[in-house]
Parts: sequence; structure tokens; C-alpha cells
Amino acid sequence: MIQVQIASQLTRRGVDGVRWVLIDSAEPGAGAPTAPATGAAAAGMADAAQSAANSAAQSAAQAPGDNPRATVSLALLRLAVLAVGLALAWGATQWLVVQPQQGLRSGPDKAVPQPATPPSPAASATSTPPAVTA
Amino acid sequence: MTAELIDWHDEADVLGVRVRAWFFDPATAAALADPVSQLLPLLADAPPQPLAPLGERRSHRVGALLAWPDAVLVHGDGLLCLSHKGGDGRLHERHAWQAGLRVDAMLSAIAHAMAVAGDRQRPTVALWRAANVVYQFAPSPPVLECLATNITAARLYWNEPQTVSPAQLASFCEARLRALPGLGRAPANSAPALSD
Repeated sequence: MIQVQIASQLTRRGVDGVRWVLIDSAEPGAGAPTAPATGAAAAGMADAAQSAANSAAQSAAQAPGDNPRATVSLALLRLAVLAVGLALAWGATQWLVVQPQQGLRSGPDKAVPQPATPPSPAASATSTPPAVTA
Repeated sequence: MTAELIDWHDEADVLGVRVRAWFFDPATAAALADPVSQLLPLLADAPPQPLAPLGERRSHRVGALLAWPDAVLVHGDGLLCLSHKGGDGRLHERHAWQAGLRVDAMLSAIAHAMAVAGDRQRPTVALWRAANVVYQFAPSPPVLECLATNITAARLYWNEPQTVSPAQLASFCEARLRALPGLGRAPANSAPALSD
């Protein structure tokens, strides 16, 4: 807030009878004054209401590029979108490259016939030969 | 202090502003040697010092209010914000000056003084010089409040991106001041005297 003093009397040597108001220094925008001769409470309430209105109007009227916080948020958002895109591209690449390789490895294994296991000698010895009938 | 008071020739309340008038002969004023005294013959005994060379306009800004006053002069512990280039050159009649006083020019002069006072942080008097009269404007608290609280609204109304000029602010606030009870409808000379 900037104090503005308006003199109400002009003399031959100077000025006199100062009245003052407060103007919001935020750019762009202005705040409410306080009336020195009138009710200070009412002036304070008007000041708060006007400041809130000015803040809303300022945020609505201000372009994103004019606000440093908005600029940072926009840069972070762009960075996040870029990171998500890179992650998706990497994931797609992995899926396209790794899956066919796994398919090539697993396919012949299933096609190779399992060798027949020879009968063990023990099993042959213990087996009862078929009876020969004369 | 009484001896230092200026003997104003007339004064009245106009839209919440105490207006004091000091008439002079244009030929006599033009014959004065000091250019500052030519501008302000009522202060010819102790002419104020220009803040910048006469004829050189400098910007003064407070908040979103940006002003280019015609002249800013140092006068004692305060400043004088003088507007003198916007007039039409006609002579103001001494007994009917209120009819010829432009309210928008008066409010614009006050807005110029507000910008100067906020920029320089010194008490400032709003003055307006016509061809044969110097007006001093002493705005009442409602007028100051109206001008100070409507800077943002005036900027948005005039679709200005950053700043608003005193003329734009004055034009925006004139209708609002006329709508205030006790200011707009009261006859100029019957308004209650302001406590200076």
C-alpha cells in the first residue's frame, strides 16, 4: 500500500491541511483508501473487500506468462508430460523387442520331442519274463 | 500563518471538491519575468521551484495510475501539481466561473496530483490554470476514496493492460460521484463546507 497525501490548503510558503489515502502498490491494481475524517472501521472493511476484489480481478486479468509461479508450474507440467511420453515409448519398445525374443526361445523348446527314456536294467531284471508256454 | 494565506477571489464546492479561484490579468501575468510566476502569478512573491525544467513532462506513477503532469513544482515542504495545457484558452468570467469549470478536468487534475503525491511521497496540491484564473482543488474524503478505489475498475473499463491515465480515471469516476448522495444533486454553493 502506498500512502498518497493531498494537501487541501495552498499558502504563500507551502502547503497545509493534508488528507491521505492508501493505494495498493500491486501492479496492476489499486486498493481502497482510508478516510482520515470518517469511520476507520468502515474504511477498513471497504479496504479488505476491495483488496479481495482486486486480487480476484488481477488473477483473472493476468496472463500466465506474467506470473512467475504460473510459469514454473507450466514448465513442470511440460516436463511431466515429456517424462510420461518417454516412459511410454520405452515401455512400448521393450514390449515390441522383448516379447518376440521370448516367443522365439519358447517355441522350439516345445517342438523338440522328448527322447524316450530307455528301460532301466533293474527294471528289466526284475521284470518277469513272459511265460513261455510250450 | 494567517499572513501567508492566499486571498482567493472566490470559492465554492463542486461535486465534493472545494474549488478556490484566483483571477488575474493575462497580459500582466505574461509580462512577469519569471516563467514560473507567469504560470502561477498568485505566487509571484515567492515562486516555487520546478521539479523538472518547465516544458519537460515526466511520468509519475502510483499503483496502476500513470500521470504525465504539465508541471510539478516544489513549494515549501510540499509539491504543486499544475495542469495548464488542457484548456481551450477562453477567459473565465469572474462571477460565473462555475458554469465554465469542467468537472472532468478538475477530477483529472486531482488524479494527476494523486499520482505525483504517491510517486514522490510528499503532500501535493492540485492546481489548474486557465487563461485568466488559477483553480486550487481540495477534494473531500469521498472524492479521494472514489478515485483511489476505482483505479483497477477504470483500467479494466478502458481495457488498458497495465496502467490508466488520470483523464480515464476522471471520466470513469465522474458519473459515480454524481450518483453519490449529497454530492451530485446539491447546488454548488450550498454544499456543506469541508473541514480543511
